[in-house]
Amino acid sequence: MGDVDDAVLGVFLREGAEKLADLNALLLRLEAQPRDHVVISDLVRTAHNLKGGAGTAGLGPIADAAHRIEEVVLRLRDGTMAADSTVFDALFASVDALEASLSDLTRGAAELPQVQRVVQAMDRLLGDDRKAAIASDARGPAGFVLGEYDHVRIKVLRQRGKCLLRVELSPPATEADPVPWARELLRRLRRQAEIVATLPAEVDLEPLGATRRLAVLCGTDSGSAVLEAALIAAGAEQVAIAAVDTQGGTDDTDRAPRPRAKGSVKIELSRVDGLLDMIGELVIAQSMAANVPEIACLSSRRARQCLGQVTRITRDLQDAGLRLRMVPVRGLFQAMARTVRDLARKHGKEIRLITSGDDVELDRSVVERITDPMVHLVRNAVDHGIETPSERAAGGKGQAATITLAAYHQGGSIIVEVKDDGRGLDRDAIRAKAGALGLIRDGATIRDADLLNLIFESGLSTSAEVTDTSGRGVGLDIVRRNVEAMRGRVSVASVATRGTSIKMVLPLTLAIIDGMLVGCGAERYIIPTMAVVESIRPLPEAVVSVAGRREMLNVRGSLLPLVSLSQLFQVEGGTLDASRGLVVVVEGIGRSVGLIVDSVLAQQQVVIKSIGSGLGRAKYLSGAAILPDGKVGLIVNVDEITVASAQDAAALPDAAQSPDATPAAGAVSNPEPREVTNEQR
Amino acid sequence: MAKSILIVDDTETVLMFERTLLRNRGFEIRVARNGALALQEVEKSRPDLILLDIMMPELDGVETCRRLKADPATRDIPVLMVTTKGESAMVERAFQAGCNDYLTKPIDHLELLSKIQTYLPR
Repeated sequence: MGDVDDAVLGVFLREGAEKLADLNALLLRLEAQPRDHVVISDLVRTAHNLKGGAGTAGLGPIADAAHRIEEVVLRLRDGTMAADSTVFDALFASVDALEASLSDLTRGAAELPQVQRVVQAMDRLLGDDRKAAIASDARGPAGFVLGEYDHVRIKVLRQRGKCLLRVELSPPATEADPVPWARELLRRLRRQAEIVATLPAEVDLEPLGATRRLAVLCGTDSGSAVLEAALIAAGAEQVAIAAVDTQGGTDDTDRAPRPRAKGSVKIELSRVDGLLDMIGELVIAQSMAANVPEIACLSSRRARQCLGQVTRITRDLQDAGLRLRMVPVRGLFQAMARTVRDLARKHGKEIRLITSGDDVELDRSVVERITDPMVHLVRNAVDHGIETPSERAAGGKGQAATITLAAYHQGGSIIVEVKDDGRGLDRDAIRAKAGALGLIRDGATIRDADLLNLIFESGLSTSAEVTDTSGRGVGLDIVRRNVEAMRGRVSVASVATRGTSIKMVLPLTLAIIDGMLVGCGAERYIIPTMAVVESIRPLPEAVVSVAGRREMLNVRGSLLPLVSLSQLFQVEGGTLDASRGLVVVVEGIGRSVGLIVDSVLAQQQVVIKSIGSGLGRAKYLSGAAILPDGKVGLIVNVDEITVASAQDAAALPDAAQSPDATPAAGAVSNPEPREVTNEQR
Repeated sequence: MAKSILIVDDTETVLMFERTLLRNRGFEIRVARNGALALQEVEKSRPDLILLDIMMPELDGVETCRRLKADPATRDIPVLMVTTKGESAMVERAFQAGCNDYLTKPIDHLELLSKIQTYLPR
């Protein structure tokens, strides 16, 4: 059984965690609407499933705890317990404790000290009357040990007009091993009677070998004479039948409208990724096949139609595959609901949480990577954005504040927004702080949006009015860095006394990017469009040499360091000279660089394939993609190139001592390069 | 021929346990995750016995049992209700609906096997 047990435990750890998350979300809903019967029914069922799962996985204490949670919820439903904050606090704490216990179990812990506390906390809510109710259960009539619901069963037998009989018999003396005989007899007896219990119990009839007495409690409408005859025909000796008088049964009504559930299957992530890899291979194979000259020049209309269909299906398959990794943001929002509740209580603020777009789907890894930023933004909103109820009242606002979490599609991106109706950002404080840090000059005019964006600068997080200093040492700069690492961006809007909104603009998936396909010699590279500022065909005189070695490009008076992709990746035959090729201006971490390429070929959506960890020059690549002709294009890692250009100039082939990009007046004779395209997004 | 058992439950852990245990004993196992799906499966595959969870979304075990027992084509298939503590009212209705027997979670594997054996037709 060991393997089965381990496998069952594994399933439970996953399922149990889901159920606890559901409980959390349902409790939040119930707290908002204590009379919502659908929610209560869901709570009962969820606690119930948790109990059943835990018991089956051999985790009795967790099952006990879940059972008590269920009992508390049942009392809330019946109205025999008031749904006040004490009850909710205890329930939330219990869910937390069970979540922690599951984590402990996952790590292989043998002891679950928190579970006992859950049991105690629930028992305190339930009071003492519960124990008495349970204790009376096990005793059965005429010495039988009754199971959980045998009383109920007896009650129903009586309702249906059956007689309850106690049958006592002995196996035939000739039967050396009476166990198989007894089993067969019980099978036959079941045709005429409903067996409630046996002594010894049916599960373990072994004692029969010694006692040679079998007692059966059963309900039947056959007369006892008929039954006796049947038993004797089956070989029983010394049959004694007596009517039994019992009363049993319990009363409580139990009905629940069942919410509609979508069918779903749980799949391990590694399998999904395996499938996606295979789809990737298929896309390549299909693409290569279509480009084989003999196939590409087929003139048969039918053959071309079929090929077209294969292409379409392959693309659809790729889309469907990518969608497999998508999960709704609901789970994330639910987790935030809990954070808001706890923080609001802690700070004595009244906050209503509204979510919209719960069904909007994001790549699973995007969701994982915005979880910390979300927590941070929500904490900021509660800690600093939202005023105390008295402040709000003084400002003529309703006492209850609102935090809105919204997710929606916009263009090819998904926006996740955290909005509050609090006091708004203090522009003067930001300006003062930014001035102190040297981010802006005193008295300088700065666009309002740029001023607000300063809150994402590191170091600007010390003013309590602006950002969260309490807690985990994560500033808004980290929020921005996390989001930008996913090729997303953040923006902020704020109106004094009306509130603040922070938007995270996120890619639909990390698996696909919009790229600019560029040529370098015979090679092609992909530059993420997100990073591209503009493309320039420079005049020879705009290219200058700094310190006699490093080439820079004068762009409207600013010097931009240049990096030749052909030289960086040692491509033969590629352009090294900026004035003979094109310069794609890209923006990496806080800095711009001009990439020298031969030509800009196309705008292309590509599926990223990992090329493993970057060693040597490979660190300037972030992945590879299959191009429509089946060949591989490498994706340029703009951040690495800009960082290397700025910090470690020696790492780049075009090494210079001083890659200074500040305007150098007079260094350039003709400061106006011609602009060919503008890809700025 | 191997006897077939339909397991109806919406708790993955319980499904896993019952399925593994019974499959190891040579039963042919089918699975449904709610009562409505169970009725479809019964229609299709006519199992020899049904293990029916009592509290489920969509169509609960009690109603599923009632429908099975009301249909002359399926009424003879033994139905064992799988229950947990604290469900007496539902269990009572399940008995009224004609379920043959019940098991209580956490399920004891010996009890499960012995109950199944006594209800399965030869």
